[in-house]
Amino acid sequence: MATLKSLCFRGTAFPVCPSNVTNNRNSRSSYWRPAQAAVKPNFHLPMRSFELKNRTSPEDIKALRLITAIKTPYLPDGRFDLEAYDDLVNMQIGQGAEGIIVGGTTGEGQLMSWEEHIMLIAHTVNCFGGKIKVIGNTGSNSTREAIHATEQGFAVGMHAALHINPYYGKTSLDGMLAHFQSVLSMGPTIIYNVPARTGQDIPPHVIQTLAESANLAGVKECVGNDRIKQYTDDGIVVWSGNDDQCHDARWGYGATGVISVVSNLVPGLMRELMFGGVNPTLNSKLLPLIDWLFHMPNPIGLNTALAQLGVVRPVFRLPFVPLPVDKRIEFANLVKEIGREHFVGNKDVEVLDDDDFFLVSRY
Amino acid sequence: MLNNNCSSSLLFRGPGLAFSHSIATTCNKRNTCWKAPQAAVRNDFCLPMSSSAVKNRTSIGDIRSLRLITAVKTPYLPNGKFDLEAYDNLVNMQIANGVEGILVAGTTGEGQLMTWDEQIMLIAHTVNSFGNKVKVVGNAGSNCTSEAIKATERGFAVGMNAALHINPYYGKTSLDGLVAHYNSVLSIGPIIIYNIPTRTNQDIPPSVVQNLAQNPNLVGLKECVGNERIKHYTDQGIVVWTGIDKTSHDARWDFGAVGVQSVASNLIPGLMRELMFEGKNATLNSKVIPLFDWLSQEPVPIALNTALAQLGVIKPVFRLPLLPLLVEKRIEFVMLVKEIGREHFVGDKDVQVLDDDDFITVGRY
Repeated sequence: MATLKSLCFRGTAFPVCPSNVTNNRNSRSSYWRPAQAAVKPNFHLPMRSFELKNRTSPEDIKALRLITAIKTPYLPDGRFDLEAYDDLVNMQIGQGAEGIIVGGTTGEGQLMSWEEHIMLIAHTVNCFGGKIKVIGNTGSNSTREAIHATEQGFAVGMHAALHINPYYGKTSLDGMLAHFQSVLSMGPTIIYNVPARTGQDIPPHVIQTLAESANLAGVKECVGNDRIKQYTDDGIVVWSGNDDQCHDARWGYGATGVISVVSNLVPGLMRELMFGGVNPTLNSKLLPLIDWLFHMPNPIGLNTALAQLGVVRPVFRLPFVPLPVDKRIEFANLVKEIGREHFVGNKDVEVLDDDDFFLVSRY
Repeated sequence: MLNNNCSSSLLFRGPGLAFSHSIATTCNKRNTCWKAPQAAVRNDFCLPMSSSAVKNRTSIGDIRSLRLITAVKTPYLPNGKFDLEAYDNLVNMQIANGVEGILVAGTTGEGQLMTWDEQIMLIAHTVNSFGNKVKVVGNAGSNCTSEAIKATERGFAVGMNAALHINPYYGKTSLDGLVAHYNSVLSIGPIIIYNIPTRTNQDIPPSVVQNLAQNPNLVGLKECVGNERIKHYTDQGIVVWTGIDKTSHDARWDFGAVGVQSVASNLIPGLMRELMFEGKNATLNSKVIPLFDWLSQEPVPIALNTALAQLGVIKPVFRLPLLPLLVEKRIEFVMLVKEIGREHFVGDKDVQVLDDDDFITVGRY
């Protein structure tokens, strides 16, 4: 996402916190200590306002059980379809979702400009902030961007921030800590660990260090349920980021809830999974749908499904492209098996022809 | 480069891309070739940005013949802005020591931490200052197709000779989406595809590369999977540079790689040139392997940034989330310089360990 080029904004540099972070590459059997790099103090001040735009505490975020990583729908020219978006959010609220991630991976935040993204966060706060917690995905692999986006997201009233560790342009564990600590002071924060996408696992000792901050609401964890248990046993709040594991995570491993993709489609059933007690029957009923959704990298399956349900237009921003017709037929069958009434929208599910889809490369 | 960047200031629509067929995918549960959905392409009357003026006369063949390309480091001033004086000095030392191509704003150059305007400025500056002495390859890749298209058009407009393109990282797509992404930029100019699954978490499979190789604008591949993969391609006549310094000598002399796109050449360009041009030299290779190991102990370019600061050719300034290596590692580097010989390293000041408080880190710039 583009940084706001017009604003050359320099705030007070933050202190680099020394910590005993174990580095796997350290050839000596001792704790590795980060370089005590000096911080250049200067007289620019951080962007700040004492007006209380939202009174959400980290505890309010910690209490959320069902958070939907909401899909961002598009108009045929690739711009946001806000009418469809509002319908999606209203359906989530209507069926009991308690929080939404705006511009997450599922929401295709990585394909947004920062102006679009901040607009969508602000729009969501403005229209729905009284009914659902709004969590902006203001993380980045650039610390500069993460700082700017997070300050701006909280300024427009988001309740919490979701922060990934720097992907692709990876850093050391010490750099990872410095990155997170540069944004943690801004407001309630959920740390997101998905090594299958970032190429770098956030190790438990980094999380334990960050957990010393009151602003850490918890972790969205995708490594698996054993990792979740390790954290929840330590009193750290965790949401599962894996729909196929979230039932067991919630009832067997101490997870507070889920940050979900599949709740975009069946929010009521996901609410039941998170609130209604152990229900392996319902879980196994949903697993084929979840498997179908993740046949290709998310959100390809979800984008295709929502178009088939008639709640979003069949428009894809590249590099995503829809699933092929045989997969779309499979989805129509899954909807019949689970029951159309459990899915969002009310139109009959369609298979759609290949030429119904629009691929947009420039927008 | 703000790789998440999808600037909406220009709603610029070009002719839609053609959709490719018959991509074999490992995700396919049936034993058949999976065929891509024939999604319609929205045609409209906006035209792609183009110019008839011939800015550079570099042919695909010229790019393919480069053996030593340096992924050059981007140096900073204490406020986090580019230090162009130090940058010019780095590039001049590369040229003087026989480097043939410069990769601007790559991973080593911290392109992912640049704004697009900084990145295009640096490419244009490099072309303007050095374009007649060294080939300029701009890193125009992104995980956002729209951004990749715009950056590529702009890069060629300012005169770069070729573009480097990574596959979409973090926000990964299907193999079919991968082909669509690459076809969007291959029509613009000479493209080198970059495969580094340790960073993207998605390997570009040979089937995709072979498909794309039908496009005359595909120069070749920067391949980081390993030498067996390189041989697989070079046996088919596809040009490959290794992206791994440690295996580059063997890649060049035993596996058909044309050369290397190097990190270590930032430090020892003359020795890297010797490795690529002067025939097999296992002795020289084993002499520099400890340096390669030292450089890759943390994600690139953490160690390189540290080393160049110790050599006094750049200021000790780091853009976050990168931070310098700790003091014992810096002491190790001083020893390595002594063992290999200071005269082989860039710059001419005595190598220093530097104190921790010599380093400046910047999060806002």
